[in-house]
Amino acid sequence: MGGNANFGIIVDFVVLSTIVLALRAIFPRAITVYVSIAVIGAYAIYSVAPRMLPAYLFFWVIIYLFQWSMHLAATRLNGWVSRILTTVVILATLSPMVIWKFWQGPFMDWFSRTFALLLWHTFPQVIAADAIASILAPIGLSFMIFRALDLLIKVRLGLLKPIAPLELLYYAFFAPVLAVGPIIEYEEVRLPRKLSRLPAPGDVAVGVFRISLGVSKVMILAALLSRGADAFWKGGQTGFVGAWAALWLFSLYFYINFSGYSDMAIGASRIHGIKLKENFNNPFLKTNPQAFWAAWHMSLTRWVQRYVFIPLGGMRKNKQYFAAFMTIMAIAFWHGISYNMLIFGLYQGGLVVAHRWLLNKRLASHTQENKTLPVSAFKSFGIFTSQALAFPLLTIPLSDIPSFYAHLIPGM
Amino acid sequence: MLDLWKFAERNFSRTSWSGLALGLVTALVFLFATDRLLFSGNAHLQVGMQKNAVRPDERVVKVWRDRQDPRGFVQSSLLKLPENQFGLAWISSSPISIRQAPPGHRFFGRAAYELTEVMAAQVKRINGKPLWIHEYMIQGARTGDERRAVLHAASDPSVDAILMTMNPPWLFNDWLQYTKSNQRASIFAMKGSRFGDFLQGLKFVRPSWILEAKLSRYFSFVRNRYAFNRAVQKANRLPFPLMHKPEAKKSKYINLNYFYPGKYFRAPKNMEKYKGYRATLMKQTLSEKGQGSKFFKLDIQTLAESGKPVLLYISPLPKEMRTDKEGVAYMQAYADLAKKIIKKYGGPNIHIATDTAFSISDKLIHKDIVHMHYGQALVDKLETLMVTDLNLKVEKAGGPSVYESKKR
Repeated sequence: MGGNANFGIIVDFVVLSTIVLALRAIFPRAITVYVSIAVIGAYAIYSVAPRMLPAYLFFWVIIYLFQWSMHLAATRLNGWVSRILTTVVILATLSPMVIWKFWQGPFMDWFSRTFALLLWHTFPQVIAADAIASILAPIGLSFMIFRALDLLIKVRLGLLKPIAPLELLYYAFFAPVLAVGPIIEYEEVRLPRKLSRLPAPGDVAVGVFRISLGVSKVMILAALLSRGADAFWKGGQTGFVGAWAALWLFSLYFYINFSGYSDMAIGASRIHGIKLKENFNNPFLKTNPQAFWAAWHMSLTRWVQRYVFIPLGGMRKNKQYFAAFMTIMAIAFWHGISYNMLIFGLYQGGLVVAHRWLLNKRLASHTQENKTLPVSAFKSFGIFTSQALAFPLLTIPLSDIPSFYAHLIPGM
Repeated sequence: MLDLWKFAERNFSRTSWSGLALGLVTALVFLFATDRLLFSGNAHLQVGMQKNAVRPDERVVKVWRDRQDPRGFVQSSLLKLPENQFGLAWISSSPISIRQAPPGHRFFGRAAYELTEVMAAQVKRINGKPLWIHEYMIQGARTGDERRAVLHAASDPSVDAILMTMNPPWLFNDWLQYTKSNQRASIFAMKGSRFGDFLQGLKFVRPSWILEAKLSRYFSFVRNRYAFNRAVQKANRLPFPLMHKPEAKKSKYINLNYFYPGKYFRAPKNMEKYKGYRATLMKQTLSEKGQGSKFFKLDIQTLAESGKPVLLYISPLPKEMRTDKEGVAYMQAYADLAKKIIKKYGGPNIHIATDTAFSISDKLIHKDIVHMHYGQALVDKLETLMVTDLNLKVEKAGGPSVYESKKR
């Protein structure tokens, strides 16, 4: 049905939360919350574009089967059979994301055509709603796939038992995080079987505050910062000073907008007493690249730390640089598989590895870090600027990269 | 910096229900007061008006705002209408848009114009008052969109009579009930909307939009959000960090016709060039159970209650279709359904002209089933019907033809 999908899904959820709260007051059971939130999430996907719903349902049916395969691999199978099954399941789960990021145009056409036709032939009643959908890209696909993988790997490692279909649907269609994350873990949203009739008022208060904060960030601050960046940019006709001003404002916009959505998602969940882990922790106040990544899109960083950094031997001295570099590359390619993201990954990976090397060197020589306020402020500004330089790579076409960065050099 | 989660936990996690209620009420009062203080008034209201929204020389005002503007329509107070005007609302989608007019049929030299302009140029006064046409038209508007226009025109005191185009392929077509816009939810905040509008709207409007529409009644910053947003945005400027305008990528799979099975594309030989539109036309739900019929029923109820003289007419079809037996029969069923709904839910103020579908086709030049290159005969026909059916006193203007090839 269209509209701003990211914003709309969360606000839809907040509006419909009144129904969830009312149902919970009547039937204070986890199953009440599971069913109602799953239905709202499915409806939210339908609201973006009805044709997406069958696609997403199909994906999670597959995941349901995959978690039993992983359980089988963990409990009944041994050796190479288990390893092959695990690898196949992980690759198959990753494949829609990889295909989408590699061949965006053809994938979009295929996705749109296949699921529209399916819907149009099975539920012609929804054609009128589908025909006015604005977004035909699979919204939130990367978040969804990492959410699914987290579940599957935990089942494989024996940390979780395969979850029941209803709980899986709740996890799959957990509305607050569908469009822009954070990447949640099942343990974060699992509820005790019996619930109180009402959530704690403190949870509701924190939730309302976080939602209000998020809305203010996205609708006011981010909007103004973005317009400010555009005003300095003058459609590309700006000079050196204007380009830098635009770059800094854009970076602030990027952070405020993204963290605003996270605030809204975390707040919307908290209204129901569901405490999601934080996704941002003032990243631009950090004084080194590693601390920045530990405070920026933290749910993604935690995910890659668990499934890339540690398995690659990041905790071991001799493999730490390689693991840290590959972890950053994984983050880069999660955003998109392109030359831009390769440059983004090389740049960010280079910063993280260089910092780690300097840190190790300092530790070895027992040199104390200067933590006075002016020095910290200077370092934070350095981190802010170093990140600001990377963000445009997420947006501009490859061919425009040289001329864009030339704007930032005086006299060019 | 702005990740205030520690602050939130410290200050709100031990709140009681009464504290929460007090906090919410305080926040609402603060928002309301701030809104009254900072955002009331008509600042930025012009934003979102269609280009040339007010054209005093032609006595045509475009009431429908830019499709992205959730406010929907321009208040009549902003249209600079003279006090003694006769307001004729003309509600239509694109059939009244003349496209690619050939030389000799150009409106003061323009190849693209609206029939509203032609009528305003020809009719100077109605019932002794200068005629002003309130044009309710955006391209691609469908039955669901026109429903909002009907509500607006019916409740606008500056509108004295209403003309409404019945779009042949789309009025009862359940495949497409709306054009893409941000305006669908505004129906939830419109004067005169009915319970049926709520039921219909729920199928096409997200809860967040309904909330926005409801809030827009009380908060100016919500109502005018599009205008405020546009006011701080420099139009036509490339956003940072782009260097070139990105190519618009449009998937062909959003095109409705793509999904039609081939069998719907059959047409008699003389209708071959119209076969896509013909397929659309014949894909309607000609029963009262259809979505389009439900919207039409609501329209008729609203128009009947308004008491204003109303003329509905079927937009003319190309002359080739007269010999298309299947097509003519289909249009007969279409007209019968419209008449049935009007008889059941309408009032004495509502008149319908169904013969307009074919009776004047010879004098028109059609581009396709819906659109025309030349439509003078339709304006003449409507002028006549306003006299005969609506009992209006129409004073025509003399002077040179509007189709002289010179710019006005």
